[in-house]
Amino acid sequence: MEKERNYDKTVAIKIEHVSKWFGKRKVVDDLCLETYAGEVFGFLGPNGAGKTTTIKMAVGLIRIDEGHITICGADVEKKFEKAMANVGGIVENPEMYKYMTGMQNLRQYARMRKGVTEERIREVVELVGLTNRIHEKISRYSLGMRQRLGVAQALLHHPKVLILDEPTNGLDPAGIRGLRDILRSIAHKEQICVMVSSHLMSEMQLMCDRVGIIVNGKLVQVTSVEALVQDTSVTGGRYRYHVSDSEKAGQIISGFQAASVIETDPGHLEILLEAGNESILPEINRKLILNGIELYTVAPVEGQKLEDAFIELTKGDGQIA
Amino acid sequence: MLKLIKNEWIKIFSKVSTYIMLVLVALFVIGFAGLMFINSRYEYDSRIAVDETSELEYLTISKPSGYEVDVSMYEFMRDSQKEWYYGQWQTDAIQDVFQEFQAPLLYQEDQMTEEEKNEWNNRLETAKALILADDWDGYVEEWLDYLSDTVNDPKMLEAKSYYWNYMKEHQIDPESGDWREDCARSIGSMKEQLAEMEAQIAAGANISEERMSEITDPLALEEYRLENGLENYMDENGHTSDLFFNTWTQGAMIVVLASVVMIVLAGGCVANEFSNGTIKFLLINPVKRSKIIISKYLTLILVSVVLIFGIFAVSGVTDLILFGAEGWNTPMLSVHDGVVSQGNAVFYVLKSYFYQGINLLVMMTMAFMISSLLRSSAVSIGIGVAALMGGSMLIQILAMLGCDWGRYILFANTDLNSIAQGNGIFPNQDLTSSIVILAVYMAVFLLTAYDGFTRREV
Repeated sequence: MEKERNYDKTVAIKIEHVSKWFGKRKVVDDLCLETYAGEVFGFLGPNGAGKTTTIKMAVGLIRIDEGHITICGADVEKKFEKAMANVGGIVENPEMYKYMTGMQNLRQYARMRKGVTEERIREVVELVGLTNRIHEKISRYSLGMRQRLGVAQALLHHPKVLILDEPTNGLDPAGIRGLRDILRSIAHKEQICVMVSSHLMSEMQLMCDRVGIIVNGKLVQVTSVEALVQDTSVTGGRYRYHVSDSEKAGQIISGFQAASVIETDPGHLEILLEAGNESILPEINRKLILNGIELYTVAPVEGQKLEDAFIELTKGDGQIA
Repeated sequence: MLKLIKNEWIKIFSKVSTYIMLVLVALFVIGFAGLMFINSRYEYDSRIAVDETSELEYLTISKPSGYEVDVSMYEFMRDSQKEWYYGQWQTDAIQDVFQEFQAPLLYQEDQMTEEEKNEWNNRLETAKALILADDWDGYVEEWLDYLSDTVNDPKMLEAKSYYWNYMKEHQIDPESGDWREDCARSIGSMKEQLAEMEAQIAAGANISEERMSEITDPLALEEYRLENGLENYMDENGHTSDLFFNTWTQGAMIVVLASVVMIVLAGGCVANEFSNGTIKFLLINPVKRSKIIISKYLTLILVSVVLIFGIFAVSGVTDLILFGAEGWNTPMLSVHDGVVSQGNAVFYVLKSYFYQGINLLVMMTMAFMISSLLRSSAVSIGIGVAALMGGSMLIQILAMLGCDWGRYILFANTDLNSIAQGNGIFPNQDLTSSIVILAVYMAVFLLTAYDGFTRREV
């Protein structure tokens, strides 16, 4: 992973004090957010938090009850055509005209935008890896293929802002990795702002530069992924042990106040250290060895970090707000 | 905008169902022409024999005034040892003969001198003999002779003798089915009515010009036909005896089927974008919603125009193939103030397709509105087709119940062909007011559709 990155601080999407009601329920509450050219921004939140509603307001599908959204300086409601000329997007499921081929669908969108050549259409089809299937009818496409076509559609007119609602939905692992590479490379090389919403945290951790977490319509945190993952002050640390006797080791570790065992299986166990208590790790290890347990490896569990942070931040009680 | 229309056009014409509907319409057009063709080829035996026994039975029981003449006529026919058929010249002649010659003998016998009685009897017997001998020429002479003897007014004499003179002059066999015979007969009877009216005016009666033109106009038309040898023509209402043009004009009915097709397309036009979820990709383009809805409507109009012209053309070509090109020169004749003007009948066929097209447009717009408002293609197609089929029924019921406000309902104004001919369901419906009413409905439909679509949260 690339380490240091200098963001070009050109504001791409600017969301100012935006609120939205569905009936009497306020689904988006005074949301303020800026995203910049050249970054992949992850928009995270549990189901029903208001991610899709915010995205729909940003692309003009629903009215903004309060506040403003501007895209590359153009107000979405007042200068819709100008704002949308810079936006490519997928909202909810990528539904296409089933009775047409993939190519015919892309041509539909090409005709509605300026400056899309046949050459460009071929280019984006190649980019999302659909070249061999592009002349088939959509009714024969899998969800993953439609998702790819949706991305191709969003890229057609060289947009400065890409807004993708759950883009990895339905993709196979290779597809997810492919999409991740595409998005990261166009964001960083072509200075495009990519806004991705998802509830798949591990995925976001690998894809995004920054994340914003939204809960019950309110933005609770905006931070860079690296900071979030490294900052154990929020999450604490998670470690995986490879030991000779996992049951006995578990009993010993449970003796520490700041540590708790999450998972145990023969030969392995995972523990969670409370935030700020990383220093007791050598102490745990020493105690294990003194008790005659063979300690093969200890490794931090990286992949789960964002998820832990997310659960922590949203205090996920499993109830949809 | 053109690109948007192209998009919508492609959406409509990349569906298989669209082609199935179009093929069905085409089959109907061709099938209708075929049925008309078969019907025209089928020869009916239209001769109906006179049933003297039952006629006599009826007359002796009900005894209508003047029945004695008929009784004597049917008795003669029964005893003549001959089959009489309706429509035969002998049957028509024998009726005339008994009315003119036998009636005076029966009813005014006591006022007559012996000489007069002999004269009437003589005429009666001569005519009977000529009729039984099937001597048309002799009968014509005898009849003309009778007319010149008894009719004093020269105008009336000319009117009453017109038919007979014409037949004699042009050597027309009354059984040949020559179109000029019917023409001459109606000219004769109209001239007779006219002479009567003129006599009444001379006697000081007041007869309006309108009433006069009800006779002089058709008279001028029939005379024009005879002068110019026009067996077939089309009148101002598009009625014609020419098979080619008749079938072509009647084919405009199939536009109703095209209305169903357009209701299906319009009903799906907006609603299907919602039900398939494609509306989101459609609306995140840098194109205002107003442009999208307008281009959708314009595309539907374009398809309608193409469809109506298609039916017009396919039906014209099919009819031309089936009925041959002879009918092509059939003129359109219209009379104003006794002056006949000749027009192109094709133009009038086009007009009847156009009126049907207006109906289609209104129904389609209604379905379009419902589609954009309710986002359900099934509901909009259902309501659209129900309105198309049941609308006129509703109006007829209202008219029957005497609800005059029914004339402001949409469906009372959609049958422009009938309204233009003065046959609207409500009295005094005219084309202008119907068009105004339709325009108001269309405006409401379109504004509702526009507003519903542009403000909708997706």
